[in-house]
Amino acid sequence: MSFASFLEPLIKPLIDEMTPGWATLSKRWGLGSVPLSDGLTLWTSWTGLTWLAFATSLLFVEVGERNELSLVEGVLGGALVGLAQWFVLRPHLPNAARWIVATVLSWGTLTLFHIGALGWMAPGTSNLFFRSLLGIAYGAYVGTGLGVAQWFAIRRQIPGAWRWISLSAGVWAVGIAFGWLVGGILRSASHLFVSEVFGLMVAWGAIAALSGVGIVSLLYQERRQEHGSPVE
Amino acid sequence: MRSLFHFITRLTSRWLPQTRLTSIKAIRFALATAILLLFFHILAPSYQQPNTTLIPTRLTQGQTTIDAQSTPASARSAPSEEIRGVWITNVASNVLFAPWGIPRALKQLSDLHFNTVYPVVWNRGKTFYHSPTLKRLTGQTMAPSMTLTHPSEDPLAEMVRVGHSQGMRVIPWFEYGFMVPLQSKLAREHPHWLTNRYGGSHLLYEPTLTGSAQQKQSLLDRLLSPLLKSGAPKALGWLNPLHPDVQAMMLDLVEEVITRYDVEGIQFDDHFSLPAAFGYDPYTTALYQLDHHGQSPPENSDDPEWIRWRADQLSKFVDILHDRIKASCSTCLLSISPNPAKFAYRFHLQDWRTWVSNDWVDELVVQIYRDDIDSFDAELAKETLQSAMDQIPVSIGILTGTWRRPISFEQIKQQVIRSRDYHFSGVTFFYWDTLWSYFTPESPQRRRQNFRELLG
Repeated sequence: MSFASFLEPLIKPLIDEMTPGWATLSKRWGLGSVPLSDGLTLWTSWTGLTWLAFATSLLFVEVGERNELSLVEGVLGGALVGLAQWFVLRPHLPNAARWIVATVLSWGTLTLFHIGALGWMAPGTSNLFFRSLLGIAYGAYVGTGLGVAQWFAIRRQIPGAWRWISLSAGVWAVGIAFGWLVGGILRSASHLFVSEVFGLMVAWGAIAALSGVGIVSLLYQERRQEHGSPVE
Repeated sequence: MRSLFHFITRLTSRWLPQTRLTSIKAIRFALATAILLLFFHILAPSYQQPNTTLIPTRLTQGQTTIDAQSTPASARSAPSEEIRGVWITNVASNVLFAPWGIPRALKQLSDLHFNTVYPVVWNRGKTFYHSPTLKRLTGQTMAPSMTLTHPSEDPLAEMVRVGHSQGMRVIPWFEYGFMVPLQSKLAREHPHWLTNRYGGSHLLYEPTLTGSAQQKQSLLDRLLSPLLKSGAPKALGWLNPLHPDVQAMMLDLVEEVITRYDVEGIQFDDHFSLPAAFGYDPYTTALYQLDHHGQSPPENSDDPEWIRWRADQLSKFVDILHDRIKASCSTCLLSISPNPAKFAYRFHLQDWRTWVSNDWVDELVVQIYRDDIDSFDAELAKETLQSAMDQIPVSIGILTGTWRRPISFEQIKQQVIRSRDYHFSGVTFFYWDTLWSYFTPESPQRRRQNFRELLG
């Protein structure tokens, strides 16, 4: 039993409510006649499991400031997120296991590089303007890095997979900036570092939800093309 | 190591039978690596070889002690270096509840040059070790959740084993002293053991928080309170420290700790006392009347003679406690961690100057929880502390914060330096979870680095 089939009965009641709106949206996004239940199940699984993987990683990875996270922590966090996303992608994508390898390697490499394991990191400044600015810049950088590695893993299975790179960059820029902003506001009120952890939970929630929309779009475009209908 | 790796890769191959052959090696490798990293990163501290020859020996029903081959406690009871201690409690802390909590905490403390831990063993009418005394009195001993997370040895046994393997002194701390939740089994089954205020109230804190005051609590308070106060008693009372049955229970608890576990001593704090407003229970009243030709205690609980009489009664028990400890374990310390002398006497009836001058206590850790450095400094300079230093090791208790009151490392550093300037025997921090954690103003790693530099 896949995670998607487990979720289906939970999501079903929502489907009936949303079907008319979905028809318009899917037409606009070029998704043709993809059933709403399929898209919603995939999005919910992706979003929920990605966020849960991050929450689980907090048992093993200690959130810190720049250069405070080790390679082991970056790899461990990346592995948990990669594993969760692989679990969702598995029924939709042949050779989905490459996704784990791409995610682990990219988080490991990013941890070693200049910025560090951004997904488990708080900025060094308390200034909210700079937090947002740094979040956008660093988020875009990390999102691009992850996007490139993950594109490499899915490029043969999904036509137009290169779009995942720009999508990942955008999603990470928005998510990290938002999370750091929330973390900064809470920290200035409480004077506790735990605020940053809460901010990162918000960031990962946003990243998971937004990238979920992207993954649904990519996977169902690919599926339609298999049946002979053009992407655009 | 190789066989472990092969075992994990074989296991993962069973989980992933449907994965294509082209990717199976990659995923098995990734999973095996992740599991190995997890194993060594998280659990390794608990599997480190001890550097002494401590051999835990099972006694009865999960109780363990340390074999005679181990380094005797007396060898560790008087550190020649600066005392660097920390209190470890169960309140707003998971160190005693997570299976890896104790090894992880003690390994970190040892790495950062701490040499003494004061782990809680008595709190909210419960013990954190298998206590025959409490079992006899209430039918209960450790919390059931504790038994689940520590199936093979109780938290105190683990604390002693791991602490000694890391070269640290372990001095169990009877945190609650005579304080007890009124809803606890101990208080409910022995109501005559409780002391009370004038008028009969058993409540330690009279309700003062009105509805409007509660509404003024910050959002963070309202969000975090239910989490951090989970299990916290709603109403607290006070066991009568002058009552013979209460004294017998306390002596039995202490004795079982020092005889069943290879500890360096035990510690009581400001809760080993009698709050000045209490003492109007029938037993204490009768005792007072015996000494005062039938005269009842004054209505004014702050009456100087009434305070003096109750403080003297408490001091007599300290003498008995000291004798009992030395009779059972001649090398074990009686450590106390009260407030500064004047406050301790006036509000808790703890006349610790008398205790020190009579050689009834072996170590003094004075809680000086002040934010203002001048006020902190003024406490250190007081004659009572200086004269105590001539008799026994005296260290300074420094507050590292609570979740409601985060304290910056800069303040902690300043207070440690001032304590060193006065040549005290060392410092002890309250408490473990606010040394370096998410509930501090700085990141945990930065706090650790700062402590490493300060204590290194």
